[in-house]
Amino acid sequence: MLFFYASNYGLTLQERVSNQYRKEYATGALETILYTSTPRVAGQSLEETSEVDYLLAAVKEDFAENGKIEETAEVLKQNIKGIMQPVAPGFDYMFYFYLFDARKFAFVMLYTRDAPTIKDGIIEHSDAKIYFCNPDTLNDLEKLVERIGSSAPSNSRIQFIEISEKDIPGYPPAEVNLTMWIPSPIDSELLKELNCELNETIPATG
Amino acid sequence: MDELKPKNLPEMNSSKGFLGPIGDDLPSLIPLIFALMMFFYVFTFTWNIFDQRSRAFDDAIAVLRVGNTLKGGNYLRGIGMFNQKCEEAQSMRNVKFMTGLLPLSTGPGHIFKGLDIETLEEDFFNIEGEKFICSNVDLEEEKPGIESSNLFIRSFPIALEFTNTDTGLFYIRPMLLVVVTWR
Repeated sequence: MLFFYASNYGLTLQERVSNQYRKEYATGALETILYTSTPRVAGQSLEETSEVDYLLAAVKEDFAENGKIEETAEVLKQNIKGIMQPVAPGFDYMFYFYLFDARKFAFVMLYTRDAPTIKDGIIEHSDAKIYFCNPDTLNDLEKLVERIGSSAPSNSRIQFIEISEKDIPGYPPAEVNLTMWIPSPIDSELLKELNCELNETIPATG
Repeated sequence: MDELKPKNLPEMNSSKGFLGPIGDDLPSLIPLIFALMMFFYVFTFTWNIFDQRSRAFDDAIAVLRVGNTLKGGNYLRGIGMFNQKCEEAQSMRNVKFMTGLLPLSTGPGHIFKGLDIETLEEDFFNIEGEKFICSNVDLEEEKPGIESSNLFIRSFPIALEFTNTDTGLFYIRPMLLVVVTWR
């Protein structure tokens, strides 16, 4: 009994401490993404640009034009990728904006990778892939959450701006979410269901 | 009848071959000793595991505490606020720590180089010579290294305010708060 106690002692606590760190990182990353600035001039860095704006303000402005995040999608991706890069070797993640009233997604970015393979006794990590997805419903995305198992989600509420045909501004409420999890391969069928399109392939580093 | 019994007969003669209560049952002692040895072995093993894991938890929690103290609401207004939070964190004495900020790149093509414990201190970010670094030990005397015992490294994203001294432009950029603890 003592032996059993010794071998199991602290495993739950260890898992909780690790999970707490994942949550801390996800929360910090989400807040940093929402706070961070971006240059108004494409291709310039924050240090050299003459005009900056909050990234979130630029995203809202983009959304206000036609209810989609198109022009700022790449900048948003670069920011998310940059902030998640320190933990990317050990975690997969997704980031999305979900509009409650319209029940649709304004932006979904998924960072995932296939399971590592063993070749001649050496583990070969597969390339990471970034997808832009457009699930039809929140339930579709929940299928993904069920598939990945234990995850560390972090979310917040924001308001977008939309201009109606009569030039009346509206402020649709939305959820912004960043979830990270231990890498778990996602099958291509599910990616199809989520209407995912491959945006970038990041080669594995060893 | 009592009269027939010899008076000065030694008591020993009636218990001939008797080695004592334990010695008389020597074979039964073997499993007993074996069981005791097993018990003390498992007890010591359990105690060591308990001690080792408790220490690891203390370190894992300490690194999160230092991180939480320094990052606060994941937003830093500048070196002044960082130093203020550093003073708060320095009150933690149960573990040695070193922490600082590294820039996070959000432009295309930039790759995070990873953390190198040997060069971390030099890599920490500075603004006009003021380095974002905090420790509760004198880093000139003692630095964390791969040989340090109970070495723990955790990183947390954080937003940092900047004002461009030339243009006066205000902006916020993502940084990485790296916390290293050791004993």
